[in-house]
Amino acid sequence: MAARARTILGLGVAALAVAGLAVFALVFRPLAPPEQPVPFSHAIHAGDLALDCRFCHWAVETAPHAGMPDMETCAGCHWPVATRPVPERLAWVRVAKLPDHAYFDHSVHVAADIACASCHGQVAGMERTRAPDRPWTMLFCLDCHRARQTPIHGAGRLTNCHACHR
Amino acid sequence: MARHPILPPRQDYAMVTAEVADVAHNPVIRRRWWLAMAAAVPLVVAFLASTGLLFWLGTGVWGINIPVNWGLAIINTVWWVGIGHAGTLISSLLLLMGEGWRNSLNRFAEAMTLFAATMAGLFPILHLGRPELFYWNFPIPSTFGVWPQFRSPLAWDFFSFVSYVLVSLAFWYVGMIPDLATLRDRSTGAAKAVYGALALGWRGSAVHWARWRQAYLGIAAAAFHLVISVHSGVAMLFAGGPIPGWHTTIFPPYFVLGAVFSGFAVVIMLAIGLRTAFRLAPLITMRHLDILGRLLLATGLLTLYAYLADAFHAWYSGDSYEIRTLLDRVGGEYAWSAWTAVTLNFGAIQLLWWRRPRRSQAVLFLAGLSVAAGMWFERYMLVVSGLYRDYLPSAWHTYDATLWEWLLFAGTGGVFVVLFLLFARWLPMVSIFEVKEELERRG
Amino acid sequence: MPATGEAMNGTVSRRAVLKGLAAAGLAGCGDEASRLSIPYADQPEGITPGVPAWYATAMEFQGYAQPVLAESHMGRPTKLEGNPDSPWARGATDAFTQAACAILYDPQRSLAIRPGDWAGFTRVVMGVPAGGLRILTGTVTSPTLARQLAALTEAGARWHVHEPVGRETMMRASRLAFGRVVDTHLLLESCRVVVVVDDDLLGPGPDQVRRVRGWAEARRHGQPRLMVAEPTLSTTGAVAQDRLAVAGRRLPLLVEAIAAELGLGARRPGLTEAEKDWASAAALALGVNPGRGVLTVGAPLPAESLALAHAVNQAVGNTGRTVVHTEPVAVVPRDGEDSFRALVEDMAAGSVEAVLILDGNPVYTAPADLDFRSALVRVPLKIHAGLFDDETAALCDWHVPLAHALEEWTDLRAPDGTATIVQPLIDPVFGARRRHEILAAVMGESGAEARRIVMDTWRPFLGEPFEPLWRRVLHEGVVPGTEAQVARVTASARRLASPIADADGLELVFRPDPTVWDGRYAPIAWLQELPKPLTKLTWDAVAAIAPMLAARLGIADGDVVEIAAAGRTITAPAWSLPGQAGDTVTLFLGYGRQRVALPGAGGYDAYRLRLADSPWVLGGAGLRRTGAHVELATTQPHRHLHGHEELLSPQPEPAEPPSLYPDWDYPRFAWGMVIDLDLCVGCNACVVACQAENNIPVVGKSEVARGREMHWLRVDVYHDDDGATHFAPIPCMHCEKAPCEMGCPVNATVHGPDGLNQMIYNRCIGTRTCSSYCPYKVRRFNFFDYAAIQPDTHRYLRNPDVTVRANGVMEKCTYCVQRIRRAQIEARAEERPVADGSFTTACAQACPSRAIVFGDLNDPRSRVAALRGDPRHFAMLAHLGTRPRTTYLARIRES
Repeated sequence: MAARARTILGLGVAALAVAGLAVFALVFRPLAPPEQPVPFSHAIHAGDLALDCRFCHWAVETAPHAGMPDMETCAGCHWPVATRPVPERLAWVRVAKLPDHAYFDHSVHVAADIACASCHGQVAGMERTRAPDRPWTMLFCLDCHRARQTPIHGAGRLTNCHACHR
Repeated sequence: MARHPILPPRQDYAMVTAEVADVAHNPVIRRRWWLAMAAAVPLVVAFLASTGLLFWLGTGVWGINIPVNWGLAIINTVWWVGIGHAGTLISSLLLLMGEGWRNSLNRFAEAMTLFAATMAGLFPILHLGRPELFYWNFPIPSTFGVWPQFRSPLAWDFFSFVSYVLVSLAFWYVGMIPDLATLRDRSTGAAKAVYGALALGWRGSAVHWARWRQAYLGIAAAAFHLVISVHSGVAMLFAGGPIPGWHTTIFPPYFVLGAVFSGFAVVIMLAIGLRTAFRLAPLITMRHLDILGRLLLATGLLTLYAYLADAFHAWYSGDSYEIRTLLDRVGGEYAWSAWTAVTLNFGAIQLLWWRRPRRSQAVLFLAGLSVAAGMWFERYMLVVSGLYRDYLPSAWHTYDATLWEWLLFAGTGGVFVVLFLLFARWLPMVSIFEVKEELERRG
Repeated sequence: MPATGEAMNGTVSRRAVLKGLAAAGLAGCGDEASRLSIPYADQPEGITPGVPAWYATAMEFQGYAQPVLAESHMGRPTKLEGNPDSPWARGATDAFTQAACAILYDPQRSLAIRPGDWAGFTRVVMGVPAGGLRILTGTVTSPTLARQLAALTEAGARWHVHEPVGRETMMRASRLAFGRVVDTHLLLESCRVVVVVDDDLLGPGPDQVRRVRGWAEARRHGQPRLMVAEPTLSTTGAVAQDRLAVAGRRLPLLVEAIAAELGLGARRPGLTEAEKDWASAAALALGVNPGRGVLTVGAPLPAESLALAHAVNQAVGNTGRTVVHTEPVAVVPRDGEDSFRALVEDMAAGSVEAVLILDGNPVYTAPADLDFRSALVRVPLKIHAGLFDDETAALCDWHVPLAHALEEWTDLRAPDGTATIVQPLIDPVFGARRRHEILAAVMGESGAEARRIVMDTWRPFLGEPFEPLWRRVLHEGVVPGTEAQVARVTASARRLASPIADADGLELVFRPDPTVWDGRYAPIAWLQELPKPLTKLTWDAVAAIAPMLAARLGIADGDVVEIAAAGRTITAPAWSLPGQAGDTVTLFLGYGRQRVALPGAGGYDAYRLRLADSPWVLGGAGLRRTGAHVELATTQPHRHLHGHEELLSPQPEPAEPPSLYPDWDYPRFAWGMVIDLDLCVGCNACVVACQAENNIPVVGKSEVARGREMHWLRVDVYHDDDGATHFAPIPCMHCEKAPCEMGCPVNATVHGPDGLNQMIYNRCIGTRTCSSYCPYKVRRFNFFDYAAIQPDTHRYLRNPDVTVRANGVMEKCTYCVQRIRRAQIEARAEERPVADGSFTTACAQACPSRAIVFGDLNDPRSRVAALRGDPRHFAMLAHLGTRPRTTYLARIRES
């Protein structure tokens, strides 16, 4: 009797554990890349063609925002194809998002030779652009900002709250 | 002085059990219980309404401003947590010192502590601009990678409040286990199952008693230091800033004394209320009341000393801002709160120098009421008169509490009463076994 | 969304708050804009997302240019700064100019032409015969507007000018003294003594920026002794070394006494001892400083007194040295000073067929005795063009929404004459029309484009090649060679006796309101909530009376009194103002608006007691209590130092109190600020600049009354026992040993490695411990969701580089950290050090007297580090050991 109860109990615990893992995996699975208005592939542009990120994201060295290419930029290469009707408005679904209270500046990070991939992941290999694998929590930023030897030349620890929040 | 027996000699053990455990079955007592409940429930509604509006719109529904950005909420929290202190003191300190007379009082005093500390803990959360984020006070690892700020008195207040509520709960519950077993044995059906579960299989064996005694004394030791630390922490919340009228080292003892003083006042009121309403006169005797009266007088005089020391040091400092705050307190916009506090706190208790008033339920009850109210005014005086005029005259501004603040205060009173009534109805208000112990000891 | 005032005042506040909350909720996470990223189809040149663009242009104040550089974020103008290249502005602005962006996005601006459309309007105006048309404007300095008006006048139309705070007395005095109209400029920077008879030189007005700068330049060398006689305390009186409160009707006697002592005319009897002493001292000071002094007399006095002052300045040798006369910058209309009266008389006589009121509100601002309203309704065709559908628009047949200066193509001249081309940063937001296009339509050229019209004006002046020169003046914001020409005039020496009014009853003194001026800024919530410099009142105008009079009549602040004069009465809340002459009552213009007023704005309509012949002083008034009382919202209920004079002056070096905490080290930067209390005139430019830069919300009158105003920077005003007035701007002190940092349980306010006391809004849970601990009470708390109750249109006004704070969050001055970061990032990208003065905070940038200096204390050559060595340097409440980063230079006290 007692042995049977123990068996049932053991099975129950195991089933619960499996169910819990399943729920965890479902909730925390990497986000699927969102549907975009144009099936743009970073794998082709940044990977196969090895275009520099700055070719399209033109403001990344001079501005807080990296800049999204206007459609004229696309048409510059795709001229023969662009004679097809071009949508008046191209509404990309964002995959890279920071909360409003974090003031991130691309230019200063690029100036410090932080590679794009260190935050955005291996975009050059993405057929469909998706969010980076490691979520952009504050701890993610602090990993570099708190390190005594940071990739940021000479800056040392950069744990000034006002560096990002103001 | 001839020592009166603390409990009348006629009592036997069965009577004690019946007196406590059968309260709920007496029809007269039941009616009184329902009447009290009916009075308290509207206040609970007021609590819910004022809290709801607060969450919906923000702390602006209160009268607080810059500079008086702490108002009734902080006054109330200091007041409530102060009340709790007497319960802990009676239970733990007197237990550790072997004062047997406490055994009739400790249970409901502990309940009072628990509920008062809960009310006290609510206010600092409610008063936050973003109450939903109160848990950022916990030192828990998070995705921000940021810890609490350990230099802040408020961070330690948070820890001490949480400890206080948890320890009070543990002390109260562990102390109640033997009595829960008694109730289990006297009840049937679902109640028996509930009491049984709560009694944790208590059988009263010698091993049980030995283990229990160890645990009980251990928690008592843990609880006792909280009497000092919690209110010292609250005092540091004020004394930590460079604000005239606050920035003084007398504050921690001043606050602890005041807290115990107000706590005894409420214990007296509850003791008289319980022995009258629930016919517990045989267990809570005039001798108990007499002791409480003396304690009230003694702690009152100590508090008076703290007042005088505070005022003396403000003057003696020679600091013009300290002196002006002192003058503001006795003659400024909120002088009424200071003088009401002094009158209510130290007027009525002077009667307690004499035995006759100490043995009059009415006098004692009114003295307790006077002190409980007076100590609230004292906190009003401390908080508001400290903030409304600090340094730069340009920043001076007055404060008036709004209806919603008063409703919230009254509401917490209602919640407190409801919790206490539920406790009185379902749990042993007086420690049955400890009273028996005391009977045994006294023979 | 209701107007700001309604949202936050009185009984509707809760509903409005809820509405705001609902709106905020809807605009929250599910917002399309934040989910999507939409690039340009074709990226315009010169716009980089996240990097603001700057354009040189000018705002308008009473027709004069206030040259600015305007900051534009992705096409949205958000902030204005004084144009450093303008010789008049030198980078500074006044408070009104700082509020210009808020006016641009004001939700009450009129939205549409009515009753028809633009085509219908042009048809109607083209049908008006030029001979029957009258055009009414405010002061005109714009060369293009003048050109168009001249063309219209030539065609037979007549042009009139009405300016409520006008220059009629100055023009009349100029004719009396010189025989023609000239402008008078005071070179205060060269003065050793400035004698002022009721002339608020340093107070608000179109020329404030230059005058305050000139005064401050001299003041840096301990110069000009400022001697002021006036009936009511003004900004100028507040900073004077020697001030005498005298009723307005006695002031001409003072001027004559000064003139007599200097050998011009005879002294009339009847001066009191104090008046005699003051006049003798003033005359002596002027006499011993030939060519280094100024006697200036204000518009409230009779023109004869002003003319006498011209003669005195000439006799002493000031003219040409500290007093310079130039050809008038503003165009003088045909009827001169009587321009407006002539219009009203013609309208009343029925001889006007059509009137075009271009940017003005005469129905509200006309003197009561002219009865403009009943004259106007006799005109068959009445056209109003203005920013708001105001009292005048309501009586007109047509109303045309007028473009704001930030939407306008025009040109304006600063008070020194230098012209600025006003270029639009944005197309008219609410379908408004540009003024030159309206006038062109009247001239039958309805298709004309404002830009072309302005270019046509300047083509002959700039010469060839026009296009590059034009681009250059647009870029610089100043047209070289346009400053006013010096006029060679000589004051006639004939005796000028001023009429002296009777001495019965109380004397009413009229003043433009320091924050809503003549009423034109009454719809602007920012300016309504801007504390008035001397009373710190918001949302209200009071009748100021002397404390003695208040005590005698038993009148408390806020008691409503009835004031009767010349057969009319108004009721107004009374307020006792130190420095008020005993038998005078000061009334402020600009309140009591019937239309486009903000709910919650109180006050009274002082125009109802104003007479055309004596617009500034009116004798024989009565005052009685009504028994009513109103609540007034002041941000500073206590304006007396209460014996704490040490707050504003250096104290013996206090022993540093012991501290448990180690000193910080500041390895790279150590930002600090020094504020010179001797130079502050309390003008509020810094306060509004801070509001514009840092997304500071307006909270409404009832919230201000509760002590919940949100301005990060306040300018304290104190009166001391000697009757002197002191201003003290109080931003966050950025203490090195900050009590607030110690109090916060969650690390939401922390010390930065560059000395900033940082406030991290997103970490704040709102315990308010920091504010309780702050000895300076500079922190502000979001008791409600104030950001959500701002008008919807004000979302475009927000600085994207500064967080919009949430409900329940503490906030305070950050030393404009967004500017610090931008400067650091730019310097880093260009691999150069951050140079001292290469950027500054919004308050320091706007300050006309440059009283606020911000910089790096680690740089020994920085200005701020140098000022810290000044003997006048002190830290407020230094004995607390907070070691503030914001420190002060004490006021220089003479005598």
